[in-house]
Amino acid sequence: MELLYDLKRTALATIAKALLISLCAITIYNLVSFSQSTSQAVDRSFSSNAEKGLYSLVDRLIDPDAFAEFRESSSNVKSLAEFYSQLNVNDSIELISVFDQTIPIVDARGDNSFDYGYGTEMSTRGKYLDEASGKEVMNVKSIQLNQRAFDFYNLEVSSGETIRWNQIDYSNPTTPVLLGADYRGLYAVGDTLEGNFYSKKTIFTVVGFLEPDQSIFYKGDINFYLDSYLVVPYPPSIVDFPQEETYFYGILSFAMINSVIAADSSFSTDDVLDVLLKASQSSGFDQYSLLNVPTYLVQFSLAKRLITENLSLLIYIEVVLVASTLVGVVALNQFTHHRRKGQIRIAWTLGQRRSLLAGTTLTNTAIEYSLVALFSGAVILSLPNQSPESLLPVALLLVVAFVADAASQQRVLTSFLSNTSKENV
Amino acid sequence: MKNIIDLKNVSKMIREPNGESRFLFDDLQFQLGAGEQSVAILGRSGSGKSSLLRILAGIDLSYQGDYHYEDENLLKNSDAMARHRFKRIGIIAQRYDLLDDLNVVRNVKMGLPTKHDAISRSRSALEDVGLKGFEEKLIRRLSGGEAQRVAIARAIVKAPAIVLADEPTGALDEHTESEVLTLFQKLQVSGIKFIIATHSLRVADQCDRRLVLKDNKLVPFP
Amino acid sequence: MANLLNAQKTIRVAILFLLFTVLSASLNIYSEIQQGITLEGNRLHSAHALLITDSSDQVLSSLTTENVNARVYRSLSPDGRIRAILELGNNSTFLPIHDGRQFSANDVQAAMVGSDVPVQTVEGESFYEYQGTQYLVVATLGFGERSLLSEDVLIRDRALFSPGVLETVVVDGAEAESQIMREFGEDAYAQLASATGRRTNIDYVSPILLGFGWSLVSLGCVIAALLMARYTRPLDTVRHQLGHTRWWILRSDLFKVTTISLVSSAPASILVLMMARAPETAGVAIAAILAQAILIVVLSGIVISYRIWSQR
Repeated sequence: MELLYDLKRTALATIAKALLISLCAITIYNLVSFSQSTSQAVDRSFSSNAEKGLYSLVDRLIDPDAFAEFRESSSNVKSLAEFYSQLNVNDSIELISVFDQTIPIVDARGDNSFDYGYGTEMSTRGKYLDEASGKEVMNVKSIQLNQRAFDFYNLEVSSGETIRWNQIDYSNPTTPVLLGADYRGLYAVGDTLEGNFYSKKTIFTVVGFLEPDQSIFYKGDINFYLDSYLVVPYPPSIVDFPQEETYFYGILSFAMINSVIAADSSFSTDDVLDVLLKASQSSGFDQYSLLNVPTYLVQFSLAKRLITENLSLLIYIEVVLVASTLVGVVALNQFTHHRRKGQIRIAWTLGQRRSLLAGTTLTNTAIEYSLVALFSGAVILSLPNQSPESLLPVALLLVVAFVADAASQQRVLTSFLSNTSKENV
Repeated sequence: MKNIIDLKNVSKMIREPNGESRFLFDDLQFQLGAGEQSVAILGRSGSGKSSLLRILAGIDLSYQGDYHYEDENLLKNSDAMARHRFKRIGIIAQRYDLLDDLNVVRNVKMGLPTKHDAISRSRSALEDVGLKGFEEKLIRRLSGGEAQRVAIARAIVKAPAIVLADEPTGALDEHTESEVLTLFQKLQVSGIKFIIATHSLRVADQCDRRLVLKDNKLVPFP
Repeated sequence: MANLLNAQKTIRVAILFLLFTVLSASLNIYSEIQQGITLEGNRLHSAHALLITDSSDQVLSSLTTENVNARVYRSLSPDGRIRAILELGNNSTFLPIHDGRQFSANDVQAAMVGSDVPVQTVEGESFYEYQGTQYLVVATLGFGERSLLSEDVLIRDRALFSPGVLETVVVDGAEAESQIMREFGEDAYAQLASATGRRTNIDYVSPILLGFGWSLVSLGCVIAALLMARYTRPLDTVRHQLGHTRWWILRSDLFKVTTISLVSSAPASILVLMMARAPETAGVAIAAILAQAILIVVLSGIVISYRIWSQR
C-alpha cells in the first residue's frame, strides 16, 4: 500500500483530525495552567495559615484635642510605642499593622495611577508644586506595614532584596522601601526618593520590587492590591527618640497601633483581651479598644470559593470538550478507514504482507500526531499564559492518545483483513 | 396497435478520456409495441446498452430526441421523468442498488409509492420471486442470486407497466440464470413488459424481439 | 414513504448532535457563570470599569447620545455597599443573581439586594427602603445565599443621580472608555483595578477556552452535517432511481435531519434549564442550541442539495 497515495486520499481527514486533537490539547494545557495558578493563588492568599480570626485594634482618643494633647507628651508617646512593641513580639497573636498614609514624593515618576486619589472616590490631583519646598510633588499611594503583616499576607519580592526588618530605624539617613510591580521601569533598585513622611523629610531607597498582584486585606476589602504602592516598613520597635521628633513619632505610633490582630480560632476574644491587658499594664497605655472583624473570614472563604468554583467549571467544560473530541476523532477514523479499505483489500489480495500494511497504518497515525505536536506546540508557545509545568501533562496525554489511537487503528486493520480473508475463501 | 414506448431521433454525444467527443447514439429509433412482452438489447461492452436504459428510465436527460409514452411526449425535465418512472417503470440495476444495511422487506417496500398495505404487498412480491421467509434477512447476508431476486421484487412490487433490467444475470451462474429467466417469463404473463440489456445470447433468446446496438443505432439482431 | 435510515446510523448521528449541543450549552452556561463569578468577585465591575467625577447628567448624556452600552453606578453609602445603578443600551453580561430576574426597561424604581440586607415584605413582594422610598426587590444579588455581595444593594432610580452636581460615578462598559476619553479627556477618569480575577490567570484562560470550544462546536456541526449527507447518499440514489422527485428527496432528508437534531438537542436544553442561574441565561443558551440545530439542517441541506442536483 503506497503511503503517498494514501496521504493524498486522506489529506483532508488527516488535517481535520490533527486540528481537532490539537484544539483539545491546547484547552487541556490551559486548564492545567489555570489549576496551577489557582492553587498558587490559594496557597499564597487563602491557605489555612491565613484562615484566622481578625480583630481590629483602635485607639480611643477620638476627641481631636485629647489626641493632640496626648501626642505632645513624649512620655505618653513612649508608653504607646512600648505598648506596640510588646504586642509586636507576642507569639500568641499576630499584630498586623498596616496603614495607607499617602506620602508626597518629589519629582515622582509615573502617571496618575500612582496618585493617592486615583481609583477611589477622592478627586485626583496629580502633580503639584509644594509651597514649602518649592518642588513638584505628587501624593503617591503608600502602605506602611510591619514584618508580621508582610509575612501574614505572604508578600513576595520579585527582584532586589527583601526588607531587613531588624535594621529599620527612622533615625538612619535613609529608609529602605519596596515598590509595587507597576513601578518597574520607572525606578530601579538603588534609586532614592525624597518624601515627606508625616511632615518629616525622609529619603527612601528602593531595595526591591514586589511580585505582581500582591494583595492584603485592608479597609474591609480582601482584594487590596499593592501594585501601584510604595511600601514602607515599620521599625520593630520605637525605643527612644529626640524630643524635637515627638510629633513625628507620636503620629507614627498611633498609625502603627491602629492595626489588626490575627489569632488562631482556638484563641478566644477573652484571650486576646488578656494579651492586650498585659501589654497595657506593662507599658502604661490603656486608651485602646478591640473590635471583631467577621467580614474577613467571610470574604476569605467566599473569595477562595470563587476561585475554586472557576476551576470546577473549567474542569466540567474540559470533560465535555474531550468527549466531543473523542467522538469527532472516532468519526474521522471511520471515514479514513472507509477511504483506505479498497486499497488495503487490493494490496492484501495481491499478497502484501500484513506487517507492511500495519507499518503503513502506523506511519499514517504517526504523521497525524506529528501534525498535532507541531500545531499545538506552535499555538501554546504563543499563548500569554506560559507555564512549562503545564506542558508535561499535556505531552504525556498526547503520547497516551497516540498509543491508544494507533492500537485502535491496528485492531480495525486486523479485523478488516480477517473479514477480507473470509470473503476470499 | 400503437406503441407503448417510442424513442425518436435520439442522439447523444459523450466525451472520451482523451478529451475527444463522439456519438454514443446517432439518430437512434426505438419502439416497444403494445403486443410485445419483452425486448432484448444486445451489444458489446461500451456500446451504450446501460445508457439507453437510463434514457428509457428518464434518469439520463442529456440527449437530443423525443421520448413518447403511449403518445404522450414526455417533458425532458427531472421531475416529469421522475413521475413517469415512479408510476410506470420498474428498474433492476446492474449492481442491484440495494441498501445492504437494511433487511429484505424494507428494501422491497421502497419500491411502493404509498404506505398502504406496504408490508403485505412486499411479502407478496417476495413470494412471487421465491423468497418467502427472507423478509428479515439483511441484504449483506444474501447470495448473489438472492440479492438479484430482491432487486426484482422491488422492481415489480408496484406492478409497473415496464421493467428495465440491466444485465440481470451478469453475475449469476447458469443454474441461477435459468431460474431468473423463468421468473421473468412468469412475470410477463402477468402483463409486465421487459426491456433487457444483456450481452448473453441465452437471455436474448428468451425475448420476443432482439435488437443490437451497432454503429450508434439499434438494428435487428440477425 | 417511510424515512429509512438504519438504527445504527441514526444513533451515531444523534449522539454526535447531542454531544455538540451539550458542548455548546455547557460553553454558554460556563460563560455566564464565569462572568457572574468575575463580577461577584469585583463588586459587579468588569475589567472595563472606570471612575469619573463630573456632572452625572453630562456623563449620562454623553453615553446615551452615542448609544454606548454601559452600566453606571453611584455610591450612596460611605462603604459603597449601597449604590444607584442605571443600565444604558443593551448589556450582554448579566448581573450575578439568584431568586429573581435582571432589571428590565420597565423597572423605574427597583432594587436588587444581597441575602443579608433587611427588606420589608408586603403581599408577597419584597421592598427595600431608601430615604423614604420603597423599591421593589426584583432579585437577590450573588450566585448563592453566601456571597461577596450579601450586604450590597443596587437601586435602579434615575432620580438618585443628581443633575448638575459634581459627583463620582463608575461607568462600566466595553465601549465606554473611548467615549469618556473623547468627551472628558484622559485625565478625567481612572481605571478600577480588577479584584478576585487577578489572583489567577482566568482572564487569559477563559477566552482561549471559549474560543476553542466554539471552534469545536462549529467543527462538530460541519462533521454532523457531512455525516448526515453521507448516510443519506445510498438511500437517495435508490430513491432517485425509483422515481422520487429531487424536491421530495430533499424534503424527506431535511425532515429526517431536523427530527434528529431537535430530538438530540433536548438533553442539552434540559441541562441548560437545570444549570442556568438566571432565566435570561437559559434563554440565550437555548437559542444557541436551536441555532446550532438550524445550522446543521442548513449545512446538510446544502450538501444534500448539491449532491442531488448534480446527480446524473
